[in-house]
Amino acid sequence: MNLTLEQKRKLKNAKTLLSLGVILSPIYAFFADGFTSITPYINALIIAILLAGTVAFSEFILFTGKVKKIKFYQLLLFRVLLYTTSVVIIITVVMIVSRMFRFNLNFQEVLNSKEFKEYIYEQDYKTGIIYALSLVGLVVFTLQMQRKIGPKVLVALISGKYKKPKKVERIVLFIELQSVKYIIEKNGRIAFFNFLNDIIFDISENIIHRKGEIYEYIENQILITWDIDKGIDNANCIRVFFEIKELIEANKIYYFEQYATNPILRASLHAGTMVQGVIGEIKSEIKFYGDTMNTGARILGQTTEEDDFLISEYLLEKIDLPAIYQSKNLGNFELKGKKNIVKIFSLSSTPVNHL
Amino acid sequence: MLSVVQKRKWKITFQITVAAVTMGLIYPLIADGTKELLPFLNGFFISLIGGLFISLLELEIFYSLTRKFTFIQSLIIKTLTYFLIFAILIPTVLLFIESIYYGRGIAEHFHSDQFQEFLYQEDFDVILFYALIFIGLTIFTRQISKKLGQGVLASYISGRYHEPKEVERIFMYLDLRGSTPIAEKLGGVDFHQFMHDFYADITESILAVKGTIYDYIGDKLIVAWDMRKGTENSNCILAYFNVKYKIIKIREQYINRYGIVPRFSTSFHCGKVIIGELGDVKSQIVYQGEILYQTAAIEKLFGSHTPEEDILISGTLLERLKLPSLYKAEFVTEIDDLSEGVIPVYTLVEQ
Repeated sequence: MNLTLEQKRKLKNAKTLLSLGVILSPIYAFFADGFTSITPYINALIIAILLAGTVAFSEFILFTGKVKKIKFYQLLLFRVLLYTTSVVIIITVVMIVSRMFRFNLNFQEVLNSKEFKEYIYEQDYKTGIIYALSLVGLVVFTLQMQRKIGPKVLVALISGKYKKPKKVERIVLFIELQSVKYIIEKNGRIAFFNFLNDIIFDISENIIHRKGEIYEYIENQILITWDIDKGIDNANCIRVFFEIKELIEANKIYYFEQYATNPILRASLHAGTMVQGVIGEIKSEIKFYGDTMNTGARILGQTTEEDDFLISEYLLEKIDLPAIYQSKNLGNFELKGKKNIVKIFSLSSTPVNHL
Repeated sequence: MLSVVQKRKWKITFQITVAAVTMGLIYPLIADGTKELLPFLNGFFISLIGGLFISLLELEIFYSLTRKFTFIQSLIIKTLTYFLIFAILIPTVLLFIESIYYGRGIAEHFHSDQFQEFLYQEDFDVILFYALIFIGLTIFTRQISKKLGQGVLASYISGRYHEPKEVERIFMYLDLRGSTPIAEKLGGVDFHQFMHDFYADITESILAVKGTIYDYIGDKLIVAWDMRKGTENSNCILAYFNVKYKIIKIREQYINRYGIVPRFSTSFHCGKVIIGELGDVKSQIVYQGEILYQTAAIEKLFGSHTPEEDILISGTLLERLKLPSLYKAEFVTEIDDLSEGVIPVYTLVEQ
């Protein structure tokens, strides 16, 4: 089967969700009924699988695209409402079907049976629903939060992975939005903010596809980093910027309509060893420190209208450049305030009409 | 008169207790309906006492845990502790309230069928379970909220800065001085630890004067105040002195551990900026505006000026402040401004 990167990512998320449900559902059955019978466990498992399926379906098919721009609490409320309905329906149906098998009755007979009515009006049914709801609420909240603060950040903060700083080799991509002054003077700061935000929303999905991690937004710059292996693999770190440019190009009618200007982006790529660790007790952030960041920023300063995507030789040598992209040697470049000399290359893609 | 730190603690206690009581009243509503008063009384008292307990433990005892242990470790320690507390608290409170409600003696009620049934039949399990989920959730949310920064989680959820808006803020840049030679001396990993220690040690000094930690950029810490909180008692300026005396107080541990005492400089400025939620994946609540560049420009002046106190304040902010009477402002230099020409910059000297 040939799956796209996006489909693979969604499938992986769905699997995680399912295993979470499978692990958590027996816990409830254990608390509520102990080990007396196997039926509660089977019921709980089926409910968990159906629920995970519903959540996965809505999360990955319903709640994508422009929906993401809805306010956090509205999205949360909408989801919780949808899932509340699903939870009630799924639990009720599973319980009825389970009884149909157990007592060999048909649907109508189960509904009318005294035992089932008792079950509905006694505590068990409600507790089951509340339990399922709080779990779904927690999962949805965590998913929404995780997306907000960056996919790996939540996990890293919770597990304390970077509590001790350590040396890592990373690729950094600086993307910079051009002619900021012009846009601010023409449209004002709030419009500029929205402009930048629109661009970020448009390109975020693509960055995840290419396994990049959005590190930070600084003024008009977007910083993306990769684990060196993930960035080199399939030339992800190079492809992502060309794909972003194509995306922006494809949306330029919208941008011109909204902001009366075309977004122009420039970028620089560099890699090296940095120290990664958590900074701050309150407002904890996972930060990278090291010359690699400064050098990357300085290379960005060397971009021109013509050579708008620069890469250091050090990184370029590690990457298998795909045939549709070319590199051009721009020679040595002395970093201001640094003793090192960096060799930089300009990257470009073959114009479409030459293919 | 309560200190700011105490006020903050009371506020958190209040929040946790109110949340607990709400949850404590929702449970009987779902489990027993509105037929009887007793379940509500039980729910109310268990959650009230429980809420106060949680606040006390969170604020006084577990406070130092998070610095020593990882998130997951402290979550486990806390959950176990609370499990024990509630396993004792729930039957005790129930015993008291029900014995009063039914007019029995405590021992008499304890041996009654009704109470024994409660203990060994389902209800006790379920209530304990419910309490634990609620507590786990509270701790989790609080810890995440703390990691995200003051007010950030609340702003995300309420969508307060979903649309960018213009606000007036005071900014402080706090720069670790001589960071390049320190980094060379300590090496990357130790330098990172050094910075983390420094920021962690001064956090409380900044919170005490109502500052919001906004961002760490390189070796710079940026703190923001809204106009009212920052000018009240000249809180923003006090941040500098708080941090200064805090470092003096604990300098020995820096000497022992790193051989250096951190030196820092601070710059203050205020004005209108845009605040908004930027980004889809990895959202940040960011400030944008000329004021931030200007504050950075003031901070750069430390390269060429060496005032006695490591503090520089823009004239714009100084006009809005009532300085502590011990200090007076002394003119240092000017920086360029796009619209107004120049902004004078002052430092503080003792009268």
